[in-house]
Amino acid sequence: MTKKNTKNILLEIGTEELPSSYIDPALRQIEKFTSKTLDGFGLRYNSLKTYATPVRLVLIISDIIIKSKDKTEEFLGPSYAKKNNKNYNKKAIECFAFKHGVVPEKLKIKTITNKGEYFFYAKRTKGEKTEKLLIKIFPDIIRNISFPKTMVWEESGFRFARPIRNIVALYGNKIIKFKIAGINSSNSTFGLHTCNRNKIKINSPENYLSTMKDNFIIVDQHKRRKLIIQSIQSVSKNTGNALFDEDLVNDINYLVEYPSAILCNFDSKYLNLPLEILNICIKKAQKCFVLQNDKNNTTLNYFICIRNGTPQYQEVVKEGYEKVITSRLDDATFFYNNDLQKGLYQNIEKLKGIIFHDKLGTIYEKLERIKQIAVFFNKEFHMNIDNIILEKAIMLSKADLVSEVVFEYPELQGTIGKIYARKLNEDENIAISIEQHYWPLNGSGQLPSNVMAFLISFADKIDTLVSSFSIGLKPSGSTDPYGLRRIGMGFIRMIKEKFPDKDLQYIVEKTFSFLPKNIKNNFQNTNEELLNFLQQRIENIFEVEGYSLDEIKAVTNILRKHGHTSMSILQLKLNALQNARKKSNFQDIVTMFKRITNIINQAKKQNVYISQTINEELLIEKSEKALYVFSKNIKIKIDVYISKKMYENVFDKIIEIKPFIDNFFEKVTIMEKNELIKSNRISIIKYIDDIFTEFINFSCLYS
Amino acid sequence: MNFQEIIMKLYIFWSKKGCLMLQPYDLEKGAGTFNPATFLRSLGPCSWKAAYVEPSRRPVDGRYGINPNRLQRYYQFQVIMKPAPKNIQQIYLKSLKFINLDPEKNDVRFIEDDWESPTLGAWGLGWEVWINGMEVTQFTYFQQMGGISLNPISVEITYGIERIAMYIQKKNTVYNLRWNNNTTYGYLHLEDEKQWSFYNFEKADVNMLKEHFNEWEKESNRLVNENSILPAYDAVMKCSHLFNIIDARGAVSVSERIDYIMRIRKLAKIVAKEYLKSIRDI
Repeated sequence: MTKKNTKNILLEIGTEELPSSYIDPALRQIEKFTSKTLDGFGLRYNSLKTYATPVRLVLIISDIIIKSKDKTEEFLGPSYAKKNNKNYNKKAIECFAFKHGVVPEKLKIKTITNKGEYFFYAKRTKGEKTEKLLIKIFPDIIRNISFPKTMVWEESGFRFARPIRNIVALYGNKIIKFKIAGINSSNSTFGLHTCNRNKIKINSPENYLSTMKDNFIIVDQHKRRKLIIQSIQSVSKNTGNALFDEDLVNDINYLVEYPSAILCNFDSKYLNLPLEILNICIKKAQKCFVLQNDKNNTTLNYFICIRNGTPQYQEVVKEGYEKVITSRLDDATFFYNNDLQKGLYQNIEKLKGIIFHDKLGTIYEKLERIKQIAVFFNKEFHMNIDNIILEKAIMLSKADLVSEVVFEYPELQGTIGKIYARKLNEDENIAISIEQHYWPLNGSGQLPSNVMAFLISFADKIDTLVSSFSIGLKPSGSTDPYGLRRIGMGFIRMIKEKFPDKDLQYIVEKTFSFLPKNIKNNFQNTNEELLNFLQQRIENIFEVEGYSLDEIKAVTNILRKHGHTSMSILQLKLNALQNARKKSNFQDIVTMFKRITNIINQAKKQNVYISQTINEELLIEKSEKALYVFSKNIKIKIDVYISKKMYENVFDKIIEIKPFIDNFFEKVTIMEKNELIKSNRISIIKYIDDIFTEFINFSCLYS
Repeated sequence: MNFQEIIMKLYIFWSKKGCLMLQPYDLEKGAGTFNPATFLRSLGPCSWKAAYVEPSRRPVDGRYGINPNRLQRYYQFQVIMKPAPKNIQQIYLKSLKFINLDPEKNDVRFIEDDWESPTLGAWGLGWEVWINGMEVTQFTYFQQMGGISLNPISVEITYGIERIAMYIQKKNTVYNLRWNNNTTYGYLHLEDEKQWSFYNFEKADVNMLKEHFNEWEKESNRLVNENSILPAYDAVMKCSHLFNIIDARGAVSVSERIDYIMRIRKLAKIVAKEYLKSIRDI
């Protein structure tokens, strides 16, 4: 019941069936827009709720006040102090008054602290009746819902996801009258989809949900969802366990207004099909639930469909669904048996006719390259996989691409190949490799668990990356039609996991050497662009792991310039850097290196000659002598630490050098008039900088 | 209800709703949408209501008569209404009841399906309609045709009549459908499927088809320039079908495929634009 001086509100947008994935986002938008708008008018209410079915978007607000608040807005005008300057003052005041639609005499004067007196105008807006405001707010709510795709269906040209056919707009028991998309709002809605859809009169917002329920429409999506689950459990409890799939339940929830589950069955001969195929036919294609035996998790020859509408005529619906599923399973069996009869080997030949990419050749040609790469790294990385089995696995790895099952259900690539390989008594490692060589399937997907699958996946991915970059095919901005970013990400994750000590450059270079002549273009260019690309993937991965971006950049920037870089080196440096950064004097080191970089850049600009060797005779000041001696000393040690990957020690040494540098900066004028001395001093600084350039790039670190 | 009765009933139903009972267009095409009664008539301001059976050829869908549901040539029952009536969903549901598929007794669903024809430069929003899980109809509000935004909006309803008949007659294979009470669908079409699948996949002379494609493409452009718009559209349809056979032969790479589609779309767009101009002149 509503309180005194408040009312309830109902808005129901009746549409033709909305795409189920559009509905939740639309409800969020309605909530956000409505609460913002009502707040703007100062219209308080008790609760604001949204509901939806496939054909209704519903807003219910309880206990909204019946009038918006009075409002006063103040506008500041020209300075009052300038009133003596008659001409200026008069015009400015008139303009100000005119702007607000009043005569100048109505303006008041206000003192602003520290500024003086000013003219001002206080605009009072009287509160308006909620009822009147809703006439504008309701259509605004409808207009402000956006969808991924919209359409036009009537002459006004209004855009919505699907046609709007009815609008209920109630304020208490009063209709708020407006027209949008050719529809006049009313207090009448429609029932379930049948030939003669009944009209349902809504007396008041508070009766809406129960009136709809009496007409076999559960408007509350949460209740409807519960009902779907309960209904599935109740029809299947004596038979087995339904395989619940959140996405499927959510999808169905916005496909029905009044759900009831029906237990159906199919001929047990189809249980010979693998579960993956049963799932595609029953769950994915028909939006039904697969049943399993709750004791041993074997699939049963039952499934559950969700009927929309009254629970009558279940037999007709059951018979219909069973027939459709049977014909799908029949189809699948036909493809599956054909594939098994043909086996996988004759498919390999067919891959000669399947284009991987116009310039990069056929899938068959790609397999030949993968073979070379995999065999090479098998030896190089001491993986000890039998090359005969490895080559066989590679040639079979994509044989299912030309199978009839994959032609019909492309999402089964790899998976069905594994099943065929098992059925055809291939080595189990080969079967697993066929499925897992596609892994990881996405950014967080599982890496191949099988060693041979891992190597094939590795070879496949690096071949795709190197060959694509070699012909200039690389992702740019938002376009990445060949999914190279995903592949690059997977590749780096794999290296990090299994080959952390291997040099990235070397892997790229070797792979490039296996490219056939016609796609082998400019190694320098390919190498540089691909390494830049991989560096970004590495940065992403470390960032996901929680390292801060400036630290990551400080270590990965090195990747571009210098030789051997492996994931383990990057990781160790990152950890060392993180630890060093915790120490109190670290910030001074960063500042010191920034100064060093600045001096070198400045010297370069002034064309100061920077030498690789230091002329000791030109060392005059005590502090520069000391710095040079210490640096020479420390360089030897640091080189040893770097080569032994003892990065923590490097940071400790950097700290030791700091007092010498400070002293040098303090006592010595670097930009000496004598060019030789100047050059020598800059060269010392460069000498010190060089000791660390292969270590980390300090200039990437934020202060 | 046999196959021809379903067709007759749909004709009766839709003619009562004011639709012209048209006959199939006499050129090969992939779908009823290609028929000028839909492609051209959906353009422009004049109201238009028509219904017709359209034999549709999809070479790539052939299965040598072995698969119980897949055909390289099948029938669509096509309804086109401009402007789309407000209660078109209700009318459509009544048509289902008229052929013994009572929406009250069956589970009817409208599942989101965004329709697009890249070759026709056309798209629309709507659904595939399921009856007890079986897709029986494509229901689309056209938004663009030949790259032109439509006003008023047409609705297209396309029934897959074989599927509906299989459901009503409780048959597991299309070839066992009763066309009338003495003759089966298989008696009429099984041999077609075998021979045409063989032709489409293995026999068709790709070089000849490619040459013909080039010639009809040229012809379409020439005809448009000489103001023979309707014949120019026939040439577009010919190109489209020639491409479909070339495609079924597996004779085009991915980028060539896109290239062919773009070429047909370009022709379709020019024809649509010129057609619209010509009806405005009248």
